[in-house]
Amino acid sequence: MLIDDSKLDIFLNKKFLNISGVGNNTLEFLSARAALEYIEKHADQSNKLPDLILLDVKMPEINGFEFLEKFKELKHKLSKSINIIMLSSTLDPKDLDRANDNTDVQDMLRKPLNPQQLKSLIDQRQTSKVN
Amino acid sequence: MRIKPNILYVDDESNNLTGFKATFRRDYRVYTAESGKEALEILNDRDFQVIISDQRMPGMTGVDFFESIKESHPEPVRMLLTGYSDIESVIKAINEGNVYRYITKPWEEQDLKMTIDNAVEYYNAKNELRERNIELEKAYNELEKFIYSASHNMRAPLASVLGIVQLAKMENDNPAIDDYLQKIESSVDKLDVFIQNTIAYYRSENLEVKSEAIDFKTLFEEALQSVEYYEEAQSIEIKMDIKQNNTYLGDIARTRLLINNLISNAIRFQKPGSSNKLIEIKADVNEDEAIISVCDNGIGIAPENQEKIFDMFYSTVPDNTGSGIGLYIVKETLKKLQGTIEVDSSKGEYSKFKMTIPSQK
Repeated sequence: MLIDDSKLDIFLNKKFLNISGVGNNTLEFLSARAALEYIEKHADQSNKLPDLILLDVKMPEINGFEFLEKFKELKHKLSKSINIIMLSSTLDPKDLDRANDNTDVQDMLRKPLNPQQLKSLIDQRQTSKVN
Repeated sequence: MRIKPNILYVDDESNNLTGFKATFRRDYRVYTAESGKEALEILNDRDFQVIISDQRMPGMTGVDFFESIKESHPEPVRMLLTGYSDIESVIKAINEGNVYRYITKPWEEQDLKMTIDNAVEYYNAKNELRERNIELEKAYNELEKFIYSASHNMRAPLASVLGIVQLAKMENDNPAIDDYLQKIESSVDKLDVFIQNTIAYYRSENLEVKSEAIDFKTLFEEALQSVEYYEEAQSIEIKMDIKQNNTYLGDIARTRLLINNLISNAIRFQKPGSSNKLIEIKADVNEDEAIISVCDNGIGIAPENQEKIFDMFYSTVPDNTGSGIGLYIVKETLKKLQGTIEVDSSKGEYSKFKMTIPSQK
């Protein structure tokens, strides 16, 4: 699932996801609110929920961190666990700290997304899950 | 309408007070006090441009009085009325900066008026300077905020452009277009580096220097991780030799900025097409200082340019991928940490940057 207020970035990241071999089925949301509504609506349908969310930090109305707060409240209802990777244009150290403190977030990456870096993060996640 | 300056005259002899007031009340707003204690109360009620005090007073001398108001009322210009026998103590007060001028008794009206007018002028000049400084600082802070927010807003669309170019490169099989894409990426990258450097620099500029425990091995590993996926970094061999046996206290954010800039330069100024690109990183850290050197076997710097590279916006070769601001930022950041940097380079062969950063205890 891609959550970003920039259509251009969604287009880009969708392509990068394909290239990194991560997945072909991507859900796109231009606002955090729309994404939350979708997740809540399909909370018990594993096949409709994403395995991974690429979450933009800077968005109008509800930003990436506010999304995470609301997501935390929804988590217990979800029929599967969802990995979250945050994306930022600037990598503000304060944002980075906030992301590191949040247990739902695997990492925060700087835009533009690098397919190899993404893939290796996801592989890391897989191996730790298996272990 | 010219506002009359406020003058405070302190003297234990009331005849002198009356005489002074009568002489000068047309030119100034004169207030009088018979002792330092009384003068202090008057000082707390309004602002004064000039204070004239007799030296010989019972209880508190003129010099003692001025000393007592040094912290609480630093602005008014002080003058001391004195007879020849008091000169010694007065001269000492003048040299210590407490007193602007001394006036010998008995005073002559025209001379004294000229001296007081000079003192008022001096007061006005100092005041204007102080206000100018406050305005300047305010303007500078506004400018910094603007640069910071402008940079943030510029980086977002730029990141998108970089992403598209990288995507296009992956999907493209036309060699001519590939060349154009490469050129676009170079240019955009240069701008991006500039903006990111600017953001990082102004982010740290105003912060107080911190004193935190730094583990250099971790700092370097993080720095290398952040460049790991850059295309130019792929073919470069990186050797690291970090010696740190004790705790080193420093400013993590600034030290990180320094290291990232040097490593970034070492990557960017490699010889294009070379097959044995190398970067050697050495750190020697003890509790007093950290000596860090980053050495590359890249294009090097000509001797006549080795000082200029630290200037803002300096650029050596037309095609280079530097932003021109990185080393300026390194220089300014080091200044704040009281550190130094040395350049050792041979054009066409290598460049070595060695920083000495004292610990910030």
